[in-house]
Amino acid sequence: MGIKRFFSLKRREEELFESIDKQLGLTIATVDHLGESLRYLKMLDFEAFKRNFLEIDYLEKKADDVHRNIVEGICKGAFFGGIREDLLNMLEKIDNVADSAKDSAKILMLRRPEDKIINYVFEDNDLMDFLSNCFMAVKKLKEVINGLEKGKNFAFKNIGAVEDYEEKADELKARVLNRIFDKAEEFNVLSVMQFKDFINIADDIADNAEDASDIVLILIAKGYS
Amino acid sequence: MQIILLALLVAFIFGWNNSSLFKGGLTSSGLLSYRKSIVLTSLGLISGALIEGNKMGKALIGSITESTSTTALLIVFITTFLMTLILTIFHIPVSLSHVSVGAYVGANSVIGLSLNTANLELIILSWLLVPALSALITILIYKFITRIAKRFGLLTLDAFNRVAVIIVVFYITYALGANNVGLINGLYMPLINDPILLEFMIISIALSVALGIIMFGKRITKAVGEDLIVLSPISVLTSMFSSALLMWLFTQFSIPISITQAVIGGIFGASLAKRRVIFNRAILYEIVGSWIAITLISFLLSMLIMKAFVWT
Repeated sequence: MGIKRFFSLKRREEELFESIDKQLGLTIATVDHLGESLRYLKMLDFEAFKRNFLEIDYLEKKADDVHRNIVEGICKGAFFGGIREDLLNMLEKIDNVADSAKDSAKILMLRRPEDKIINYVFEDNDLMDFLSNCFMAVKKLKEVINGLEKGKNFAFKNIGAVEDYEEKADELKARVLNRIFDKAEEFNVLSVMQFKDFINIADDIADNAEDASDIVLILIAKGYS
Repeated sequence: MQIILLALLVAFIFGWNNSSLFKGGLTSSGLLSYRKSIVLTSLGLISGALIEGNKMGKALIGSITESTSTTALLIVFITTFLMTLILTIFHIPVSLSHVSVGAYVGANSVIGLSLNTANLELIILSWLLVPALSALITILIYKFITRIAKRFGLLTLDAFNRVAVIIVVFYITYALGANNVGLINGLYMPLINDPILLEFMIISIALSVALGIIMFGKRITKAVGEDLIVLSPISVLTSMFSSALLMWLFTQFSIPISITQAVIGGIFGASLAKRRVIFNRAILYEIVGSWIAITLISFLLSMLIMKAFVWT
């Protein structure tokens, strides 16, 4: 084995890690656009909401492409065999985050919910806070993964932060759902179901971010970071 | 001719039985393709047997006894063949050194050759020491490596693991080629006078072990790896490296040792270094018990076959 080859041992893995960072960046952008969509909905601008959905769809597809390339690279033999499965699981969870953002937006796209329920849901900031906690969980996940080179303590601190955001999102989710169902009989049943499904699917954003950060813990347990 | 044929068969079954120890690391990690891992294993075995295998030439003949008869050698090979085959069929990791030494002592004691008990005691003492030494070396190497690895990021550690697995697997096959394959070669060496034929035989025996590795070995992999203990990649690599180092060191003193004993000792060393470990006691007792039983059974079986030969 030549000296040149020895020093290029990490090249393929470094490239894949850059791609993971790219996938995370696209995933964050997808979740960010979901928040933007909700802001349009709050303003009762359903056309802008629809336009923004196309952006979400585009970003999710791009994230999917990057994900596929990384998976191919890993399957072709990048990384040590002992962590390949963990990395694939982690990437799948990240992919689920973008999927959840897109799927949740799709629920509200099916039909325009009545203005009455939209105004009621956005009366307080709980729904927006819920989504920003989901967004922050994904942002922290990116820090966790990028920080794998920075050591255990950095990872533990940020994994804890991902969990905190996920728990907060759970709390807010329950609050928003309770509020909607408190006055459910005043709204169209379909609109109520739409918001219920939207919130449940959007919650998967934070759940998957937390699951991905748990896989980082497995990597740490195996001696990485 | 019969001895040579039996030596090839013993080597083949030995490869079949022990394949997990040196092939498993590469194939399970998925680092190298199956073909490349086989090439690496074969190269390790052949180079070990060719470069340092001659050091085991006097491990039994000239150490436990001054000399021996061709019949006794034939009985040693028959016993070793039967024992390794039966144990492999029952998925029990076999120690070639235990079986060979047991069989050698059994056959030669029947024909009344005087045994050098001091050398025999030294071999037995080595067997007792090997697991403990392996555990100790593993703990030291593990502590050293983990201290360095703490400074590594994911990508550096990943590259380290990928390179280390190749070096460790090559080294362990090299040491095995020198010690255990050298032990097989040492038994028929006095019968071959042509140096070219001898070199051809050494390579053939090493290739026979490699063939055993290629064709079989999955169940034994599980017994030593997954069933016994749960470890991290660094733990496995350090335990395998210290086993190879120990086996290589004992080769320098012409003492045949068991790679299984060394690896199991190493695995426990790694688990002790980590303090927290899940291990299967039943499998551990089964393996340790089998070491004692295998040596005794080989001794008795060899005696019985030798007596049958002498009477007929």
